[in-house]
Amino acid sequence: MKIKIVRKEGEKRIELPEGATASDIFGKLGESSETYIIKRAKEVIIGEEPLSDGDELELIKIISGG
Amino acid sequence: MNCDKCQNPAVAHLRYSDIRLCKNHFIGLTTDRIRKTINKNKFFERGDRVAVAVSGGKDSIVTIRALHDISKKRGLEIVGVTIDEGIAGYRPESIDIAERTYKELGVDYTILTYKDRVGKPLDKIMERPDISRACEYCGVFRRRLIEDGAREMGADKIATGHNLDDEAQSIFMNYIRSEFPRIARSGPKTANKEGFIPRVKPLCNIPEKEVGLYAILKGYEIHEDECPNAANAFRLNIRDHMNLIEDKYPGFKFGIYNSAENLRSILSDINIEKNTLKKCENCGQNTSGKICKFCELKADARKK
Repeated sequence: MKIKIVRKEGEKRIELPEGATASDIFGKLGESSETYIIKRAKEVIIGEEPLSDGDELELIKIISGG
Repeated sequence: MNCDKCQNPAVAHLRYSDIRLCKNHFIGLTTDRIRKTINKNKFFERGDRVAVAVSGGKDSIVTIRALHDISKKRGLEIVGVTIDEGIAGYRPESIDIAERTYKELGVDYTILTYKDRVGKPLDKIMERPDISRACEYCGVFRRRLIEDGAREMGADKIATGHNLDDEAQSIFMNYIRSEFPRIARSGPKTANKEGFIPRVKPLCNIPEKEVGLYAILKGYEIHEDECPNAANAFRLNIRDHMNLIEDKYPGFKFGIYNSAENLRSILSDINIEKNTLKKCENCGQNTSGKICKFCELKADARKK
């Protein structure tokens, strides 16, 4: 299935197998799930949430320090 | 996926304890954990004036708002200290957020600048070709200016927004540098030591991601950019590796944090702190040498 990823730095489309969950995107992106909060349709979702073809996920980066 | 405590959609999965929580239960649990940390470690006494170090980022904004929420009941007075390092394109926006938060909460605050207190903004210091690691200077300057700002505001305690990830990174870095006295001195609350205002860390056992989620769910205005000087920092490499390990082994960061708690009790038994503190010949602050690190780096930073 095709998933659209929206981040501050731009958009990306990735391909995931059927039955994938939200946390599977991090393996594809080469990032840690500790670094982002995931939103779908403006609602925060957890990594175990099943995905559907055509889902658009917004990733909000957790910034360290200050 | 639903909340383990009700049927609402889950917004947080605390993998280290395998709990899924909805917005209300996550906010409730996190607020409760912050208050338990404050109570367990006896951070405050009634009547304390608490200076919160506020950059405008998620950690400091959550800290000042959490402390402000309990201030009336606990008889605390909250004030703010913000440090302007002088980093163009980064710090002005976060200071605006800090100031809007202070005004909304109705707390007194002060803003100290490197330009006034060190003699140069950080951007100017970094123009020198022989200085490549901003954090080496910035960490020492910022720590001192927070102390100075808090003292000038008449504070009894300093509260900072250090979260679990910050603590785990520091413990690990101190361990590999054999800085055991630093581990002995670290923890949720610094010991009362003459010449220093005690520091407390109300978010020390809340993972960074949960602090961020808490700020978002509460609708707090927070600064969301990363310091442009941080990219090469050793700490960020440690952070990235720790995050990847946490993905595979949930609870890894808590493991490091808890091991340091155990180590601290052993270190305190053997009194690892051998150096007695003297007064800096230049500024009078506590130091282990003749001149404190702040004065040493300040003199260096002012060189052309």
